[in-house]
Amino acid sequence: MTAMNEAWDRTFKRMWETGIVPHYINRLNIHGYSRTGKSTLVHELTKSERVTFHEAMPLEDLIGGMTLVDGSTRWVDGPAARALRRGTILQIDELNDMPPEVRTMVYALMDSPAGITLPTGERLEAAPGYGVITTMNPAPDCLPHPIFDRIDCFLKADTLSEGIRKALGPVLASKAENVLAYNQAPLVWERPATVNSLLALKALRSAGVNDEEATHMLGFRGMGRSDFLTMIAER
Amino acid sequence: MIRTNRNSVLVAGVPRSRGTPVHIEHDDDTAQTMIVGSKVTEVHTPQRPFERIHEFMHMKHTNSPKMERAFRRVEWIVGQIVEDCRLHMLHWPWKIRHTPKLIIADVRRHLDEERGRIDNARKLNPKLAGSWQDFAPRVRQLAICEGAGFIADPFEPYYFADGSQAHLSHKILKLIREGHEKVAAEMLQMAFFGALIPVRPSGKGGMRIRGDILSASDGESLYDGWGIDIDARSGKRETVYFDDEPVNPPMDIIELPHEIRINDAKVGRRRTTMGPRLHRPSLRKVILPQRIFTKRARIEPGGTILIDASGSMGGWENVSKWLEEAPFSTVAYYAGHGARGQLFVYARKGRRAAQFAEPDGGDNTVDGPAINWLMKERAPRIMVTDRGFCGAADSEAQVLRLATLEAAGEIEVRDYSHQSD
Repeated sequence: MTAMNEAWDRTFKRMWETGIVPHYINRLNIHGYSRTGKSTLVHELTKSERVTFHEAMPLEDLIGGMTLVDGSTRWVDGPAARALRRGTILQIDELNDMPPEVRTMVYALMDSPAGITLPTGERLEAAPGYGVITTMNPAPDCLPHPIFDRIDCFLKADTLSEGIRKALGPVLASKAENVLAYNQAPLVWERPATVNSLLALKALRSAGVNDEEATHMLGFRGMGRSDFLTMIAER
Repeated sequence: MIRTNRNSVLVAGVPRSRGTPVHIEHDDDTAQTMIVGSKVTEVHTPQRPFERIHEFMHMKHTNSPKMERAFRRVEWIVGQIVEDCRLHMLHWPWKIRHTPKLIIADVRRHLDEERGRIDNARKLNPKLAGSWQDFAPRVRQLAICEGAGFIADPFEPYYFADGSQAHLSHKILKLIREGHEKVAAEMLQMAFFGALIPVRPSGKGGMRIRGDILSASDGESLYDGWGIDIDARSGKRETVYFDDEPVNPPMDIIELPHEIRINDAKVGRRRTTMGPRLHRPSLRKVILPQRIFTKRARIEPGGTILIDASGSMGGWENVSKWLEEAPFSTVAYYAGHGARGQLFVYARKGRRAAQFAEPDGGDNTVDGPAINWLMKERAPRIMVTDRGFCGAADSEAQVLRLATLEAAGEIEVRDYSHQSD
């Protein structure tokens, strides 16, 4: 199996194990059919700080808030603040369900370099090793453009992860593959070229990734893959 | 199905100075780039990487006004082929051996499909071998191979119809590689279409060898002037050289003194379709013939005979015989010497020179200019040659050109190596 048609979970594992994520690429999106093992794989591999978006989610659930501790009010970090402070991965599940209240904060969390100002006045800058990995079901064209354009790599989870396949066993796994897309919106999306895709390409090149593999990691598929390779060619 | 790609990655690679074209995606084989002036307005692509890359190169590098100027004297398809070859050889997006594997695979797919089509066409219709439809895609394939870093051999057996076409392809690609697209295009035009397209003040084309044949009305020569550089300051014309061989080398035309009247060159009355007098006996026929007039004219109409007097020709014995058969013919012979040549007009209008003048050299060299001269002379035209043209950069093209003119009925070729009549 070449890098060009490698399964999404193997690509992600390779990017993590070789240090491409988070040292060269630190904003990644995995989108695809439900029950493919996206969130589980990310959490198990990266030991991430995890948050699941929903429409009614308050900001405090993301960055933290003032809490009564031992009779006094103290600031307690939320998952995003902890990830920034400790230099770990912030995993955001169901990114497409982002509540309006947290939108601008998410922009800041996904900036490069990332940094937020807490309500206490403390400025938190991302420690080395910080990154944001998001998961969701629908295709990324549902995301607001400022969020979409901050994501470096897009992986499409259109097959079961290795963990799920092992858990099911070979016979059931093949059946599960057959029903994977049932009753789900088709994942028809072509990544457009953006400024960020070229910045991400540069980062991947500096990590020693060749252009063909980089195109795959960046999420270009079909004609978009050959078009992007043509666009970035040196001559 | 047709759809507009509003987030086109391909178009994102086009410099702003070239415009912001609309990208129309097709599910069939439609592939085209529309350029208005110097701006790209639209690009149409199929769902195949190679064809998309090809249109991408057009978007980035095709200079439409420059093409119009360089190719104004050639058929549109000739200019297209030369431009396609130029793009692939000089503007392939990747350096040698850096083309991504995904792209290499699709280039091979395209080459195999096209090769299959043209080989099949040749099998089904053997007469196509060596024609423009057979030659053009093959030479473009060589250019594609060069750009993509494949090894291709134009001399592979049966790839081209014959060795002279293989040599011609090599020369054409070398001309294009070195920036002489105009010369390459005009060489192809001469070889496969017999003549350059004259440029009229209105910008419309003129003469064609096939189909409607019109005469050029602007006085501009249909043949001379190609393969010639004009110095922008002095306006002086200089011959283009290619690999030390001249393209369209200069030829001196020498009219020998026609002192001797040819015996059988009689002038009398003959029936024609127009004239000052009616041929009264024809009026008695039940069905009037077409020729019912008489006029004073040559008994036997003339024509033109041109003889290749290069070293391979042999003796002059046949010339006298031909003059007996067609006493009013214009008879001339030519030969080359170094980078130039001479053409001697031995006989014209029923009179001939007292003796043959020996040419300075015994080379071919000026086969092209000699054919140019012949095409300006009166029909029927006969050329006596063994087709062994050499000594000029366009010799192979002239061999093909002669075959094209022969197929069109413009010139009858007699091979003196077989001592034919």
